[in-house]
Amino acid sequence: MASSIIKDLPELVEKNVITASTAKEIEQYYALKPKAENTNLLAIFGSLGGILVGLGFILIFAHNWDTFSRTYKTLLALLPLLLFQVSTGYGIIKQKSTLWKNVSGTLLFFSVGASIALVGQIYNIPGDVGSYLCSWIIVCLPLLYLLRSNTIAFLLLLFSTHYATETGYFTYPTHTPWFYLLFIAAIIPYYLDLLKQKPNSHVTRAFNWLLPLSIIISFGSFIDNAHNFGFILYGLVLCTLYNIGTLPSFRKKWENGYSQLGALGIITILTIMSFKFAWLFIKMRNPIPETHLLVICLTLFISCIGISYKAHKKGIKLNSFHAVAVVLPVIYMVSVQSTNLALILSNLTVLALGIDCIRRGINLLDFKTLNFGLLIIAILIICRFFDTQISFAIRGILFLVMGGGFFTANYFLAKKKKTSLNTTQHEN
Amino acid sequence: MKTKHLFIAFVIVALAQAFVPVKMIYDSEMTEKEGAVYKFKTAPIDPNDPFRGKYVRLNYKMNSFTTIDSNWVYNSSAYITLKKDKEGFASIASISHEAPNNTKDYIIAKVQNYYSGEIHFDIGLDRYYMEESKAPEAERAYIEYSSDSLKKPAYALISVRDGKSVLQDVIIDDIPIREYVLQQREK
Repeated sequence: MASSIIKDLPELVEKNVITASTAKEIEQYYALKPKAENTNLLAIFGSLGGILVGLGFILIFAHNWDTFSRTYKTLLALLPLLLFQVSTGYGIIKQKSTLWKNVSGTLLFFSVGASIALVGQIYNIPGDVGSYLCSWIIVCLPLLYLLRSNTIAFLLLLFSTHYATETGYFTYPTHTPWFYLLFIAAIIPYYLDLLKQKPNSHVTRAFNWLLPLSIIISFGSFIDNAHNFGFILYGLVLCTLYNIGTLPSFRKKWENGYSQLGALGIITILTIMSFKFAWLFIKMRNPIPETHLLVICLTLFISCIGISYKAHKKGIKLNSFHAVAVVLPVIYMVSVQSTNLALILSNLTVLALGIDCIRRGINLLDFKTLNFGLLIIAILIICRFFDTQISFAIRGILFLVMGGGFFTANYFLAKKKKTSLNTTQHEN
Repeated sequence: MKTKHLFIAFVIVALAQAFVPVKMIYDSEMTEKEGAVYKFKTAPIDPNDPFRGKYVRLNYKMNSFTTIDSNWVYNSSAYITLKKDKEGFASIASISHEAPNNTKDYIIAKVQNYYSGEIHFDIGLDRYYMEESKAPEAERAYIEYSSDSLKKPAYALISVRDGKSVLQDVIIDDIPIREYVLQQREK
């Protein structure tokens, strides 16, 4: 970014946009500006090297070298652990660089996993992948605060998500991965600190995407037996994430995984709810959810409303996505009485969100929002082809209209943007 | 936090990290050294673990017991006291909700269900880790071996002591499964 500005300076001076002295001041500013920590290639590749070496250890051990004696294998399991504990301890006591702590911490993280795995292998200790990951993460969590290493933070988030999916989705019989909540609660203070200290660093930006993604992936494992009520709960989690993303500290567009993932998720959930099959069995089951699910629902609902209110107080203009948190429970309550009415409501909500996105896109001269709105409506129309008997001719015409709509809307927005740009230039 | 305090905290964490594998080793060694060894009839199949490598999964014949006690809850512990049958294989002497006082030869199983006067359970110990090329061969060798009904049953050697148990080896045709695979390779 800075280099491209500096590159343009001679041209800007030549065309009298800025004076030569201003150009010099800009150049001096970037020369003296301190470079953000951890963005240098050495730190990134050091951590990456640590991760690859650590994974290499685990894979080599997983081969199971049955020609080695048990004693030799046991020593081999404990040796890397001891080695990297010493190097990490040395790094702490000698106050070594962040790079040292990152690499040594990463290697220690993997050597803990490798030692537990290898001892389990040597003694044929039973236990699924989920319980193995759980013990691994528990003993490595304190490393995050002792070393303050971003790589460890990412690894903990990644492995916590892996633990939640293994325990909650992939291992039969499935169990609720309660420890996931503990792991996330332990990571969050570190993340909040990052948000406060380095809001614009690459690490914080990556966290702004990975944390909501992890929550979206793992949430399903906590709502087993929720059936149709699961749509509402998932929808409310997505609404909460979307609303968090609209708070002033997250407003910058591409750094904001909360709103982007939240909006995409809300549309997905509502689109699924707009299909007949989603409501097929609602009448056969008890429509009143279990108490703990109702508690989760209420907590999420209150959070959604609370965050929306906070955003509104801070001067953020609320939009249709903020209203989804109220609409979702209404759709569920209606579905208990009439499935058809719930279907109509779901369709109308998706349509309203699409139209609102188009409106906002035009008003803000924002192509991304406009096209997202058009895409929502296009998806809704395509989906209705699956459960509605419409002739091929009408389907064809509808597709033509949709395609035409995309072109026309983008053309008019481009024209509007050009006009507004010209007006600004004239005013200047 | 001062460096000294940070280091002390790290030493505690490092000890906790080392404690996990060392405790696993200690428990397994003690059970093997001081426990009684039982032969459990079993059938091996070959799955995969991303971190611990390939293993043969064991399905034990000992997975149910007839009892009039119907107060068994899913996933609770069942204490199974063992005895040896005429052929020297492990069989169930009794089953209880709490650890027996009169013997050390018992294992702890997870209750699956109680149905028609029978309790169904899982004794765990279902993974026998093998070198990655040998695990699938072990499965194939076992299938071929078990197709002949006249042959002796395959079994697992398990050390048992005070509810703790360690799977020592899997035996096919009176030799360890690893050697059996090597023997089959030579044929």
